Amino acid sequence: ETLPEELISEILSLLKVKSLLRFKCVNKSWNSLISDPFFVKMHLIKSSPNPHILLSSTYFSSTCNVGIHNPSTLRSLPENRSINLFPEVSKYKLMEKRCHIIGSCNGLTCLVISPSSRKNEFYLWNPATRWLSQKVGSFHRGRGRNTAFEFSFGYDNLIEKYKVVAFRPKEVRVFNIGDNVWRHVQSFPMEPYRYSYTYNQLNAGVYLKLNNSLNWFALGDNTRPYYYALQQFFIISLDLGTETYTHFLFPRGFEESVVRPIVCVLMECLCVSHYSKGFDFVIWQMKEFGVGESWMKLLKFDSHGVVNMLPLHVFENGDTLIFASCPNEITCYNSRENRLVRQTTVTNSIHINWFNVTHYVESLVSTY
Amino acid sequence: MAEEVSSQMNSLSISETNPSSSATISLVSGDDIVFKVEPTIAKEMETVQSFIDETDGKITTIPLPNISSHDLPYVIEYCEKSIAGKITKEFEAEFVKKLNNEEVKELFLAANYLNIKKLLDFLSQVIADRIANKSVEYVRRYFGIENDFTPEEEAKLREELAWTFTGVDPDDEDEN
Repeated sequence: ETLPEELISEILSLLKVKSLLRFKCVNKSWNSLISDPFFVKMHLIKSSPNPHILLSSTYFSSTCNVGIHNPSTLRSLPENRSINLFPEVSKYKLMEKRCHIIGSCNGLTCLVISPSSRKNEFYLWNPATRWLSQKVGSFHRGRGRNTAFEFSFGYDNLIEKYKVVAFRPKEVRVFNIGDNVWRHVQSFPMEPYRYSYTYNQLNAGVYLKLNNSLNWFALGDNTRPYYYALQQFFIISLDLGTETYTHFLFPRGFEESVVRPIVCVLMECLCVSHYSKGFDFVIWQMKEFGVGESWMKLLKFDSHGVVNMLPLHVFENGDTLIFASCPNEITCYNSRENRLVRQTTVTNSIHINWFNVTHYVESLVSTY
Repeated sequence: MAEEVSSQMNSLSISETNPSSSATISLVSGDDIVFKVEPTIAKEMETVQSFIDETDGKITTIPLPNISSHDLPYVIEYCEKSIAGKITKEFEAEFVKKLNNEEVKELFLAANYLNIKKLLDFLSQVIADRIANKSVEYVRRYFGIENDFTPEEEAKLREELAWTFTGVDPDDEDEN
């Protein structure tokens, strides 16, 4: 007995990309179904609630190495063992030139290559389908001022276009991929803090929960970078549709912090993590995007001397997967016992770019 | 397998002899077997419920020509668990363990016909899991699909997608 096509597509939308690509060989109608934009979108929506974690090597490595990891797999690693997070280096060895990933949306990652110190070129790459675009844009810094630009990558749901944001103090430009024009937009009311974990997945593609925005951590007074008081901390949010900014205050109950807080996304919500004075690790979650009253304390536990923790994933049972950099470790917070329970040492000859850890969803998307 | 099915039918006929409400619904399978169920079960089946609603509850015997007496007890069992809030991962694993590929497909069609969203979603996942790592040939057999590519077209496509053919499970021929 054969199944009607709408039921077939329902089933296929649950499969991984590799299986789907193989099943293009089943017959002509499966081949066209799996390439159909409507199906591609349906598959993306089904795969979006299960993001992977994408790690890439630092800009200074000679090739771009990428490791894509399922949070559940990382959690179930045996205790007190070591793991190489770039196991299949050659598979993702993209280009011989220096390049790095500035973000990921809808299964596409945005790669930047710098043929010279003043020039950047952008490519889109889908690691699941192994599709790599032609050059989609380039950026010239021009002569004069020396400050280099930082880049972020996002997807504007309203016009369904991918955008690259280039910024440096007092200057912001936006590039719609496909348009080939860098537009000057209003500059940040408060500069994003450089070298903070910018988490470029803060605009999570088809998710509307984060309201089509890119978000950064900012200091109110940049002249006092080591003054870690609540009134110093802000989240700057760029609405990708209107290309205007808003800023959010940190939660009112936020305790004094001993290190700079980290802005991240957990369970599709904007979060802030930090170490309190007593070296407890605390995560706050903004339940409803942009609503200051919706901040709630997600968890707080004794860090037991584990430093530089970066929360990456929260599981359904409340457990949290955490990366600690320097020394590199994967740690799990167990919600039942309210403590860190296990650690896996990361062994890589390649340095992880901790500023660009990104959430990644598998998709068939190969257009822009 | 046959024994399990009949034991389920027994449990159903017990509930028939102890009617908790007068408005029991009779579902008639395609092969003319009557299954008496509580109205709450019928509510889970959108197709059945809308039939009852349309007739203002006057008609309580509902023919389901597309569903066999083999499949219907499974559907009823799932709905009972669902109402009781007892759909657990363990229950679901036990539930599908008894079913071969053909039965899963039939049940999937039944869930679609009866419009039971939860069962449909669950069975989609079951089928997806069963084919995920399988070969193209296995999938054709599973869904009864004719290959309409010319040998040249297929060879070309397979060559382009060669990397997706690694790590595929061997076909198990005992399934049908």
